Amino acid sequence: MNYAELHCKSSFSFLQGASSADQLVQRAVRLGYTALAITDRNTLAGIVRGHGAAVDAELQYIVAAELTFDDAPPCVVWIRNRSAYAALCRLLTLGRRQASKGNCRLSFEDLVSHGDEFLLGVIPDWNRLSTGASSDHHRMHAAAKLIDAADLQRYHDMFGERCYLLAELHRGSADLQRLDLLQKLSQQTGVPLVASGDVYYHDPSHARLQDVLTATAHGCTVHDIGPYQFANAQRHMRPLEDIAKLFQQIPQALQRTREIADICGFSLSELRYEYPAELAPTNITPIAYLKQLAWTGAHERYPQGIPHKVINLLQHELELIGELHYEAYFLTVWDLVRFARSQDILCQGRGSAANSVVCFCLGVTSVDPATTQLLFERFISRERAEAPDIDVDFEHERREEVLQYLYKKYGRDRAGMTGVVTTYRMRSAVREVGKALGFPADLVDAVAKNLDGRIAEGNLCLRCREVGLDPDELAGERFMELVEMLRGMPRHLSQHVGGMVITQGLLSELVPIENAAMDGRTVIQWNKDDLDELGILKVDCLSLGMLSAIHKCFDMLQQHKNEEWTLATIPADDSEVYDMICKADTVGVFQIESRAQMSMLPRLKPRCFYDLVIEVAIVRPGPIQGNMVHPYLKRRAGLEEPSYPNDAIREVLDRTLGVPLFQEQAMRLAVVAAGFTPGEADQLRRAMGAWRRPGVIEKFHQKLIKGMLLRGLSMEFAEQVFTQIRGFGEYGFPESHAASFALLVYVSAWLKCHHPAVFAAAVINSQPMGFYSVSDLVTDARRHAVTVLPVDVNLSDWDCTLEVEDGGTNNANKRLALRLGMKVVHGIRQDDVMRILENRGERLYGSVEDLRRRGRASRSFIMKLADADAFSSFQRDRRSALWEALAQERSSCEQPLFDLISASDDDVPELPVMQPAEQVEMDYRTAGLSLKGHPLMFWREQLAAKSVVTATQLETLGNNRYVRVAGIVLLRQRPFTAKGITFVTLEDETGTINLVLKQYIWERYYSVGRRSNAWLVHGKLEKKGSVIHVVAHRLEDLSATLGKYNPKPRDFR
Amino acid sequence: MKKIICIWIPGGIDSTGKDGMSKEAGKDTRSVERQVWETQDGISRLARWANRYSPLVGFPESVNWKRELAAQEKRTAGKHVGTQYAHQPDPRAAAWKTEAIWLDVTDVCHYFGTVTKLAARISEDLIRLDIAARIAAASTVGASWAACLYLANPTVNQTVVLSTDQQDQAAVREELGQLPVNSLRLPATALDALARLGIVTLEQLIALPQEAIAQRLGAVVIQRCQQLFGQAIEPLKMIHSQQQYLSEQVLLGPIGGVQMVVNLFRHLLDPILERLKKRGRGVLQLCCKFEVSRYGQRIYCDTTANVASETVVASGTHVEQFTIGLYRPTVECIHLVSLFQLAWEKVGRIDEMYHISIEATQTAVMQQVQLGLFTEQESEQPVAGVCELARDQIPPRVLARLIDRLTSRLGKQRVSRPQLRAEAQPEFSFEMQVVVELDMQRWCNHVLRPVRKSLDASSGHAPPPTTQKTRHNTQRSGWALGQQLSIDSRPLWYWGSPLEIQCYTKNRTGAPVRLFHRGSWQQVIRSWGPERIETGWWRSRAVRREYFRVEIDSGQRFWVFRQLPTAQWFLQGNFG
Repeated sequence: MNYAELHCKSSFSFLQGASSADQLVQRAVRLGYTALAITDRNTLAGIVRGHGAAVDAELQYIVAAELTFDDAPPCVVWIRNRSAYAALCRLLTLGRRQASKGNCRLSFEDLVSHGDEFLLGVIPDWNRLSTGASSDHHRMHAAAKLIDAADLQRYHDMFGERCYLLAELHRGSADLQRLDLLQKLSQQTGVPLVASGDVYYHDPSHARLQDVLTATAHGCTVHDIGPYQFANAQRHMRPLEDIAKLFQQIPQALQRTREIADICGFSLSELRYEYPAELAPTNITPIAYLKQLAWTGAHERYPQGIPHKVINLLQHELELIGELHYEAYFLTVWDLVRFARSQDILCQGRGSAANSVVCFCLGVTSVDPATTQLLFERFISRERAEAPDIDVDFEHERREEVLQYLYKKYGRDRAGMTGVVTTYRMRSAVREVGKALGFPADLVDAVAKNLDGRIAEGNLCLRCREVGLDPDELAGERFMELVEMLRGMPRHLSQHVGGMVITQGLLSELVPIENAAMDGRTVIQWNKDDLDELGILKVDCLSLGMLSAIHKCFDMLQQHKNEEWTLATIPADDSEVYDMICKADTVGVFQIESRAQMSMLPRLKPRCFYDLVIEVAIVRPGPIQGNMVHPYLKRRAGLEEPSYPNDAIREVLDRTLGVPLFQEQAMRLAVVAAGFTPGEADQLRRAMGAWRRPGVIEKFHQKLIKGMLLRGLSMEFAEQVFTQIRGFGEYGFPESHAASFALLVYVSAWLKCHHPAVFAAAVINSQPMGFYSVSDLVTDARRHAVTVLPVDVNLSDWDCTLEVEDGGTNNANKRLALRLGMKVVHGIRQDDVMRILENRGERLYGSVEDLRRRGRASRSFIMKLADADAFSSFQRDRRSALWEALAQERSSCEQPLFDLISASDDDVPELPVMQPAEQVEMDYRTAGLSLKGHPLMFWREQLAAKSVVTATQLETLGNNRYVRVAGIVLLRQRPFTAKGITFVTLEDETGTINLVLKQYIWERYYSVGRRSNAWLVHGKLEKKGSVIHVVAHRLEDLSATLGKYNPKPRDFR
Repeated sequence: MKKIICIWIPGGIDSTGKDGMSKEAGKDTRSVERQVWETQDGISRLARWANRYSPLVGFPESVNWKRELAAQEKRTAGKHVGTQYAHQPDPRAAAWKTEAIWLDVTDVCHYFGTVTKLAARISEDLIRLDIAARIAAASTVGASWAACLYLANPTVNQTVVLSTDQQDQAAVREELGQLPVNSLRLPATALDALARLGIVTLEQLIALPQEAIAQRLGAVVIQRCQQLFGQAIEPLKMIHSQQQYLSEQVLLGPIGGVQMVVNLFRHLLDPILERLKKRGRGVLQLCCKFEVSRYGQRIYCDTTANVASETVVASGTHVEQFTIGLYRPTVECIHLVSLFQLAWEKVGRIDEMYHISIEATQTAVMQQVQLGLFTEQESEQPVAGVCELARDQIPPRVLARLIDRLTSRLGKQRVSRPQLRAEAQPEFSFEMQVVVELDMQRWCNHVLRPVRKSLDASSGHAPPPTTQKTRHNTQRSGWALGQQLSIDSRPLWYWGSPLEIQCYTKNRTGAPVRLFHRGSWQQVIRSWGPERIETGWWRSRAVRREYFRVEIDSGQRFWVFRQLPTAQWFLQGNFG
């Protein structure tokens, strides 16, 4: 039997479909269907997934969507040609743009005006009242009725022979009766019947998940979904014999499925994408203009003369760009960067684009191709029909200006943000399933909170058991099963961090555009993988906090020291900077501030820029998973000699001592060792990447091994190279990207080394960014002899500022102190602060009363400042300031008539004096940091009695000694490459302590590890050179001892 | 000086567990009794009990029992399968705002000796009732509360008595000065501000200038201080016993005969109904108690003490008690008498009666109906557009009477109605609801709502019997509406749980061809199906069934199903 499934929802019909496109396609192939249309409701978000899966499985894929209307029965639209596709995209854009985010609002009139080319099937069940609802369960259940002849006739009148009536049977109570009615309707109106499945999941086993999704959609539990639940699990893809039996009365309806599939020959691969070409002047072609810009840029980059290598690369690249018609794309990126520079926004290209000399000459990237080995094919290749992807980082606080420039320049119908499909993670899946199963809210909350970020199934069982949910009971079993099923399923469409798609023609004819949650943003329905699959170009306008911080540093240096710096003018190869880096004194420095990076630095001992490039690239999952780190370190330390099977391989790996550390090297290895073309090598990398599909990797694996064996290399070496390439597939850096980052590493390290106060101020002002909290940054600055001054209502601004200390006479030796800004105080609003700053002017506030009157500060705001001890400049301690603040009218700022009346006539009574421990505690409560001391110093005697040593004492103790340490948890990190090891940094009053918690210790002390923020740790001291760790054996919770301190550690993966 | 005793029944002073027992609360066997005290009824009973010691029993305005209880119920509602995993609720945590009751014993304590003796006696009494409590006596409400919470030993029923003599007040003041500021019952914002100012004890607080404190933290802080030290009066909200609709009579001599009892009942009922009428209320539940003798044997009992009478009843002796529950509130004497007669018939042989009491234990506001011109006819002859009629043309009053009579005759559990539920599994697609326990308002809205059919009747046009719309509406609550469920696809009679039967089936379709019914094999002459139902996985193992409607040669139709995958056959229901 020839059967094509024409009505089938995937998980992109959010909270309705319960199977992925892959699952549907594979099941369709297994069952012998000849074609499949995935008809998600009012969306085309899932069609690319379906297309990709169908291409791999060699199944005919029909582009289609289910549409609902306010005033007509819903229908399924099947696409037969490009113009119909464009019309469907336009129609969905219309519906989506005129509804709120996530919804679609269409009328029958809209369908008629767009549907000249549509082939459509009318869905017989509908409910006039529910068509606008977000879920179609209303349509199916609440008051559903069979379509009447008049409604069907409307369709027939408008679409004639292009209109069908769907016959869908699900072993219900009145299938035969229903079929009779449909046949009568068909005869009455002349609309032919076509069989379809109204599929919601590929396999009956997913019916439960569908029930859970239904419950979630309707905000109820599965016990109460009766009105919306399907009575049986028959919404799956049925075997052909079952379908034949169901429709035995109307075999012609089955034949028509194939007829429709034959008509719908349109494929997404037909989509042709054009980049806007208007950036080139009218009298010159875009490629000529690009060449002109590139060569001009090259002359500017190399004023001493362009090296031959660069000339050759430039010619090669421009030729390839012209051949593949990417010139308009490069011009767009150039325009973007030009705009940013004109607005004084720091920006820098990164990623594979940094492999391009053209990008370097256009000013998009900063990596000199003369100094690195570039592999242009990593960026663009002939073999790969995939678009290049240029990532440009902008200052994170000003990135929106760039995005709005794009919207303004190209218009909303030609530019849109790339979408992102938000999927269920473990914790959200636990919450949704728990809620749907009717578990008590506190239990669901306890399970969710007890979860680690990334968790294996066994651990989920354990975590559930810990909070009283027995996974062996039926309900627990169901819960576990459903959580696993739900994990990874799409939840909703969101917007990409910065990917913009721009087109020459209408973007809305390529992909539907919808409103984003954020005002002023529109987003397309496809994500970046979908765009890659179809070869659509996007520009990633990313935001980078460190660029903001560097910009602020430059501004402050200009202001206070009259020094003018740019990224390019920072002195290179400063040995002081490398000394600092070798000591792992890199808190706040871009990229090399994590625990893993900091423990690598003393071992790798970077002494030049290229070492930094390696440092950035080596602490990545790719090299770690490929077991390349230790061999490299050994060879670098001279403990092992590099060996190369042949000269070609030596050429590739020489710079990294025979160990491939960069993606380009791994790809080049495939080229020189296995005879791959550069394009094939990149295909291999991508096949192993995020979007891997079964079978593809194996094909490359065999080819790679075979190629290497043919060239006389050993099997062992071949397997090793394959492992290394696989490691790089997803989690490795290209050399060019590492080089782009290394530049920022060096610049930020230079600033920290030579201007620690400026650097600390800039990084704090650019928060949130990086690994460390404000408290950590302040502590680090003080370790570097920076004077940090407290928040003061008369001396602080919103941001941290710099003040000149005594001693310095000129710009060069002027010592700068860091004055904390009011932004560090918890719970105060920027506009309140700006108001008091505005009114402060030149005349400082003299009293709390003055602040209230002149600064128009509210009582609660003054109280917060008082709690933060911000009144030192008029000799008020916390309690007396609070006493005065309490006397102010609650809304005095809105009562100017009472301005002249003093609110506090009386003197401040003698209030109890705050003890140092109380002061520190209050500092932590109000600002998360204290300049007066550390919470642990007040407990040192008790801790010493327990033989607890300090961070500084660890340096003097011998290796492998059992020690006890205590401190506040600064950060916890569980990289998934670390085989379950958790890295924790503790802080006591003398410094920081690095802890290593092995998996079993973490499991054993899970509740302390997860929930407590102050620990006493028993462990073994491990010293390797200057790297000191304590390998924890036992954890004790200190939070009860410390009392009300509640510092929040930062958790990373 | 005043003498105030404060009694705290541990429902939790606060969530910090000052009483030292909160960690074990879930396992505490006495938690159930405590919960009783935490209900609205509990406070009334506590007050009645406390009236033994003082006529003036009060509680502070801030006690909000009802809200706390409602919140607790809301939290524990709808637990379904997850209930087994729920953490045991801590009753004290739910009632942490519970404060205390106060006894003003100024004028009565001398009857018991001294305040100390009285406090000790109260403590002993509570211990006898197996209730853990804290008791403190002082000269003010605030001081007794503060002492109760912060001076009494929390683990035993220890009493604390602060001297109420004028000359000892300085010492008392000093003692109270050491207490934390929390003992002032201040709002959380004021306590927070005091903590931030470093003011921990009452002594520190009263050392501050009063006006400045009032300006900064609110007048309540000063007011509480003054109340604590007796410088300002703190009024108590007195607990008064609820309005009772009780009528009783002790008989001078034995009486017998049904008619006399009925007359006596009517005689006692009349004043209750009169009082209710005045308040616009009607009887919803009537409790009748009699002290009787059977076979010439009489047992005297204390009818005023609930506990005693219950004991007697429980042991099967001669205090008779029954309750008449009503479907709608009423003040109709005749109706109540007729219900009484029905109930009395079930009592059995009675030789003599010595005491009778009738109490309207539940009352409700009567529905206000505008009086018609012809009030005599109002109840039976509906006026177009005004009178209410149930759907089946029965006037609601008549229907209510019928339900009342049935309930009285059969018991309230036996008068119920089926309620449709949207459920795919037939066993769960309806539930029986006891009629008298229905939400009155909802029931009236749904069943007894005004139907303006009389307008059609008056205009001479009969309403259409079954329009498409009404048919559609009847299908609304079904789960299979997407399938356009036909009216005859579900049987009229369902078996409570499906009966296993034997069937022969056709190989090709799986439809039954013969089934074993009433001891013999019956030929199936027609069948429809299969209809697949797969659901209920959240209740236990999922249900998977194939249903067939079958007609046997005798003309009877059945709804049978085959269980999957076991292929056992069951009878689910009969069509007529």
